[in-house]
Amino acid sequence: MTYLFHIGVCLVLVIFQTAVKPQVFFLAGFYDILTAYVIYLGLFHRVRDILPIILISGLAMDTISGGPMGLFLTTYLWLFLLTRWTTRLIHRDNLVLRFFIVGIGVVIQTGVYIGTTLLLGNATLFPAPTVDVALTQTLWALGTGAILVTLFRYLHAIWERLLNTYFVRESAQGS
Amino acid sequence: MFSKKTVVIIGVFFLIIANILILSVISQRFPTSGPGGFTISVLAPFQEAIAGTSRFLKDIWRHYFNLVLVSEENDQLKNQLARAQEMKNQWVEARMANDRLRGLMDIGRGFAQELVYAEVIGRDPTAWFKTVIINKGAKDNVAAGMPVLVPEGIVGQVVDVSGHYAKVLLIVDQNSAVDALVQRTRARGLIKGEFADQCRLEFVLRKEDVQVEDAIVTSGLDKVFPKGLPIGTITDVVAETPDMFHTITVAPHVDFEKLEELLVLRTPMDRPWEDDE
Repeated sequence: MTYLFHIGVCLVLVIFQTAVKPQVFFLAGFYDILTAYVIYLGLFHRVRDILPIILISGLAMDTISGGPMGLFLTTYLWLFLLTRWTTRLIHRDNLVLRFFIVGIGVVIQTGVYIGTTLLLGNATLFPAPTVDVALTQTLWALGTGAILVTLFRYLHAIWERLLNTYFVRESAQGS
Repeated sequence: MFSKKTVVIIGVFFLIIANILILSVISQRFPTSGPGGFTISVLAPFQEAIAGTSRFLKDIWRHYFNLVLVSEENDQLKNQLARAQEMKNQWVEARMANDRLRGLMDIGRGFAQELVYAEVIGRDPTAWFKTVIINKGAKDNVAAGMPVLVPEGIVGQVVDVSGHYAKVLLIVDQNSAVDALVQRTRARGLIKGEFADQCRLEFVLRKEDVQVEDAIVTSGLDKVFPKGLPIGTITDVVAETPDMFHTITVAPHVDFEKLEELLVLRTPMDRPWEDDE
């Protein structure tokens, strides 16, 4: 059931990013929201529970985006592992961590994208629009990352509560 | 001598006559500037106050009902206006769609290949790559490698296909490359995508005459796009470079942010220019 929730959220986020976000003019410079979700997963879930979700969301984004195949999957896996590693050093409920971690994630993601594009020889080195986009995305991430992570956690808690209520009632009725 | 009844009748008659006489005399002797005027000047303010209050209350009452009626009428008019605006909006949308479709039909007539009309249903999830998802796929005989166009010029090519959908790599994506010509001088180069919805024209030798405002068209040599389709206009040429090539920036004719409908050239390109001859 938890898998269902995570896959559902990933699908909603992908659809939002591809169909809704482009229609909203002020969200043009918004970052990849799945980055925030991957970081949330890294902060609050175990590796073995979440790896399939990371694989699915990464592949979904790779399929739907114009980037080189495997780019999103690689980025998400690294972000997830880095987040897990960070939680060993800093407590996951640390407010400073919560505030900066999505911004840092977006910077890493941007670095991976630019690095890959440069490696493939498809871009000139850091043209002005690239820097603009990277900066805008990072600012958006710093402004909204913590809120999104908290929101994802809250939604998951609601989901768990609903599941518990339903299944407890079902099992109680069954017995 | 007279009966009591006769006395009463005569008395009443005299009283009436006396009253008439008194009334006629009094009405001539008391002008309004005298006691009558005084009475009026004392009473009139009260009368005026009462009359004003009465009028005020009547006005409120009447306006209240009027307001209720006006409010209802206003609501009705607002609804009518909203409906009219909605209809106008639909009409404008229909007219614009009609214009766009007419444009697509017009360019369709210029090709020997079959064209597939498609609509954009999604865009790339990140700002780093430039692709769109269209609502036509393998079931509509759309295949990877097919060129995609709009009346203004070329859009890109199909890079991935599923049953009913396909992914189109736009020419402004950094992974895109299209063989192109400078229309005026026939100088050949490669249009590559750049960030911010611009393109670069690469591999144009410095000896070639290339100027700002020159039109860029497809060369047809990449076996993807038919020859002579508009791509864009040169906006910047930097000749003072150590390279043996110009550094040329091209603004595409197509506004990729506003892509809605487009055409896929269904038949794989195989020297299409020969079909015209």
